[in-house]
Amino acid sequence: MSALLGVEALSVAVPARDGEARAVEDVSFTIAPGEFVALVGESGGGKSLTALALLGLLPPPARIAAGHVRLEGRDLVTLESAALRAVRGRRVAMTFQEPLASLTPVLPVGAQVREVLEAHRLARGAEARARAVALLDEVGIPDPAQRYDAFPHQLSGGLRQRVLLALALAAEPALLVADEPTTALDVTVQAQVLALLQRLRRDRGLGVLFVTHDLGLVAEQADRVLVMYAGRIVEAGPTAALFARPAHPYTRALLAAVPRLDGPPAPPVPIPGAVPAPGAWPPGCRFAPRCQAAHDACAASPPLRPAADGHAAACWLVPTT
Amino acid sequence: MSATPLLARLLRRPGGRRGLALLVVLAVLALAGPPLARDPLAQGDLVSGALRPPGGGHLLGTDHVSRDVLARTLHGLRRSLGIGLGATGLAAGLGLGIGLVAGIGGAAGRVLLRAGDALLAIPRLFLLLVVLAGAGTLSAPGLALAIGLTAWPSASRLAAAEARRLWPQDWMLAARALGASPARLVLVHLLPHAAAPVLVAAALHVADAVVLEAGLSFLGLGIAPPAPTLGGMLLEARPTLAVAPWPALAPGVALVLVVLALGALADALRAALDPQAAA
Repeated sequence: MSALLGVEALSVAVPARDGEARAVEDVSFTIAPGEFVALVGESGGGKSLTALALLGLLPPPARIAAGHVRLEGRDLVTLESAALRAVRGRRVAMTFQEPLASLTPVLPVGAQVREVLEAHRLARGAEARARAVALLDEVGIPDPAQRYDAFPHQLSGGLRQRVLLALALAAEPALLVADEPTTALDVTVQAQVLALLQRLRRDRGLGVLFVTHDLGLVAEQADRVLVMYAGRIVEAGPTAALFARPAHPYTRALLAAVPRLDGPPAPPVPIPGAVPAPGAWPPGCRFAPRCQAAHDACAASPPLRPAADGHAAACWLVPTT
Repeated sequence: MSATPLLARLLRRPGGRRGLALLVVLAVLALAGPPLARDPLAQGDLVSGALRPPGGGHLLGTDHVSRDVLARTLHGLRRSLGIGLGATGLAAGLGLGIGLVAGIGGAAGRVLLRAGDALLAIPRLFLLLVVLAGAGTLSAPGLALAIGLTAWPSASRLAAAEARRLWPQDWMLAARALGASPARLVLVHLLPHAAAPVLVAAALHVADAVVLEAGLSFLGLGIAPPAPTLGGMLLEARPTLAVAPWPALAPGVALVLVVLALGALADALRAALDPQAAA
């Protein structure tokens, strides 16, 4: 099966004290149609920059320094702005962390859904309204015809997140990039939104790149997981295998930091230190200063190498297959 | 409630109701009054007909050259309101356009914004005096143009400030992520915000422009006599104010009512344009 999204050696440059630093470096992955891929890691690891780079939305002066983003065969990196605009929303859509801040406060939510339809010339007038109501209904908003006229601040956080999804799905994209879509929600609403995402993926064959720091969510939802640390992907693999046998020390540390309810009670183990800022990254393996298993070889940067169970991990300790 | 039209939200506020009702009355008077009233330029007997108190054939009396004060007030109201609205429309439109372009980083807009700042540094009345001294007396549209062209800088500053504040907001990025073009970002996601303060300022500015026009006419630099304007009438009534106040009273009251109505409207508009405050 040909990939829906193919990211090849993507690097993002951001301004640093001495010129530029690569906040995202040499990131490659693919997403197949209908596949749910999670991009996980701590804050400051480059997840959001990666997501923004996919859509060409990096805030200047951050820029794509190298690499390709192939969506359905087309390289978005080289696309000119008008063509890129036509792709955004239509082929790939993105939702952001804070639903209230992502909605224009002075427009009723229905009008905002309609706006996407009209921007892509998919419908107008009464037809656009009807489709907007249908979309609000599809994402599980009760009384969609009445909610159509509601302003964002009049809706609950869960409903707002659903409106964001309706906006993102309005132009029937093939890929959804969801940046921390459930972080601002409480747990029961999180579960509802995730169930909705899974349904949309089934019904529409939607590919999803789910950016999150919440490994618990990932374990239940994702087909594959990409673990990102300090701008690089340090481990990638099918969710079940990755959780059962994490290969990279960073993945293991992340998992140890999650409180578990199954098995004997054990306090979560925090990872000492924090992700260093771009430009302040150590030479060699970037996780080495925080890694308990660090040794001499870590002075050289380990490549992402295939390991057992279809994993790939960037660590010298992982035996290659 | 939700997306009720602006007018309905305006009417829900007592201030909005009062301001709007007063404005409608004034507008009806200004539009329907002149055709029904006497000829504002027609003079009666200069000796026996001048400065007659209200009553008789002249409901509001006559002025110093025995013209009907009611007719002149109605005509003057129409002309003054027209100038005020025209000037304000021009100023608000120019100001919004320039301010938005400047606020989102357009170079041309920024240059114009700075030019506007320079214009703001010069007292407005002085600026208009210079313009009008050069042009002599003006027609009503000409005066509206002159007032409007000196008024846009404050509107553009408001619009630019809003645009600068809103451009980096998340929903702008979110809209871009869904394929909104720059034109759509400005018209759909920016304009409704930026228009709110400009609209409120505009409602106040109509009153300002009417008073400014009155002031200019009072100085003899506005509309050429004998065409009536509210300010011109006040000027003409001044010498006889002590013996016969009525030629000044009618245009004065009209002017006060216009300012009051627009002030109340601006206040209610500010509240009604804030969706968070919609009860």
